[in-house]
Amino acid sequence: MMSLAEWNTTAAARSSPLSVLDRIVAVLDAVKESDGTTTITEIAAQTGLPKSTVSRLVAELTQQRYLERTEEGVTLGLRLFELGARASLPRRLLAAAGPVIRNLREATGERVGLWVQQGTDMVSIAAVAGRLPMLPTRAGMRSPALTTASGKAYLAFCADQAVVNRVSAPLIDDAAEHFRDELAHVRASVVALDIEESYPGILAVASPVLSVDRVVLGAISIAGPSGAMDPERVAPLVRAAGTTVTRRLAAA
Amino acid sequence: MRTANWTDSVSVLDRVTAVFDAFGEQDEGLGVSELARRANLPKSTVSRIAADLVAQRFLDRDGDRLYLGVRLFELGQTVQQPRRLRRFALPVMTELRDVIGHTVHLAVLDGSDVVFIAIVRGAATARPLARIGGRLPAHATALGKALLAFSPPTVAAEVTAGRLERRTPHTVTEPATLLRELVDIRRLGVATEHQECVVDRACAASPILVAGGAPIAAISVAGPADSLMPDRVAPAVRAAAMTLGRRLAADHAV
Repeated sequence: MMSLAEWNTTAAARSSPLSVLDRIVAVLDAVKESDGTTTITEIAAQTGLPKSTVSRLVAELTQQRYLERTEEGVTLGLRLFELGARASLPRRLLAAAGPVIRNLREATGERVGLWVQQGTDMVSIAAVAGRLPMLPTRAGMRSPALTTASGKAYLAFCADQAVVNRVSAPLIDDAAEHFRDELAHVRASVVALDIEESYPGILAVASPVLSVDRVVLGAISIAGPSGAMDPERVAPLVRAAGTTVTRRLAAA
Repeated sequence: MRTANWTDSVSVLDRVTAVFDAFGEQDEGLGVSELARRANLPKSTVSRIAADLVAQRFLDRDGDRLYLGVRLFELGQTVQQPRRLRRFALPVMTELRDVIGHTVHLAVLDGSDVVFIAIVRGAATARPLARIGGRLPAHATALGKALLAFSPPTVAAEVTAGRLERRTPHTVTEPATLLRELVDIRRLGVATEHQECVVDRACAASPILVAGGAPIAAISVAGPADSLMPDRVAPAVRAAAMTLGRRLAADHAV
């Protein structure tokens, strides 16, 4: 049983989900998750906020163009597109990686992706379709960092242990130890593998991208059918791609 | 209670927007002091907002510099209108670039500006004159004039009611002159730009029209004024715009 004093402390915490900013974020996320158009009622159901609150926030967000109202309902607005296109890290990574992504795609014929880390996920910055048409190949999409090649490539070089711990929190005992060993192996080989861990039938190979002062910024990956793509053959290509993007970032 | 909440949310969003906008077109990272100066807000306020925005990953922090965050990129990539437009437009734009050899742009009208949605570069060495997500004043660009000419008259009236910024000595800043030009553009289906936005740059643009409604975007070819003749590329630009309009209409989800 919690004492009254503890309740008070909790209520006064600064990261209370009831802050206006948190509500704004919750509404934007609800519209994003709808992957298209949604309604006030659906946003209210998704966020657990009262419909009247959602209605006011949507009106204000629409007026400032974070959201747009169409005949079908509420959708994300042009201001988010503009702000997102300016964001520094994706823009710098894209500028450095563009030609490298194209070369890797031409050399392998497989899907090539560029990723940054976010929470416990990897977020796609760029994706070029390969011979796997069924994979989601859209920039802005997320995949779990724990199982994907790009996630493991990032975590192996991540100096912030808190990030690694947060991502690997679901693992216990043997699994946790195995994951630590795997990251050590990735550090040694500078290449991470995902053999059907994230998606059945799909093999992915990734290598990290580092800043000029050797801080890991993201990862470049290729994905192909696990029966038909030879990881031994593509690993050197992916490693070289990661190194090239790192070098081009330093030269920019 | 209701009133207090409402006022509160308005001011929070206004301040957040002021902080986002302070980063400007090129986000090269800003310290809190510079951010506060540009956003015209007290440093303590900006410091608090920035901490909350960093926690939400709407801003990224690197040392004492702040950057627009990856989460904004993530949301931005999900915005439906540019996403759908890009998907249909990129093949058409690439084909137009291959035919003409100059940079091809796709933009939408937003207030009195055009916002760039997609760019297919001409020569790899071509100096980019616009950025994806960037803005330029509609009255000074072929893209903007093409969009204004085919929008309801109230849209152009609103733009000409405001100040028409003089970007170069060639910019049309007289409302009457601009409105006359829009009539010609409506007749020809193509707008041209002769060093009106940037000196030494020329451009031809055509609107993407679907089922007689307001144009949903415009496509353009732009290049150096001494090598690109807008009137000569106009037919190819117009054909590309029509192709794109047909494809979007066929998708009937515009």
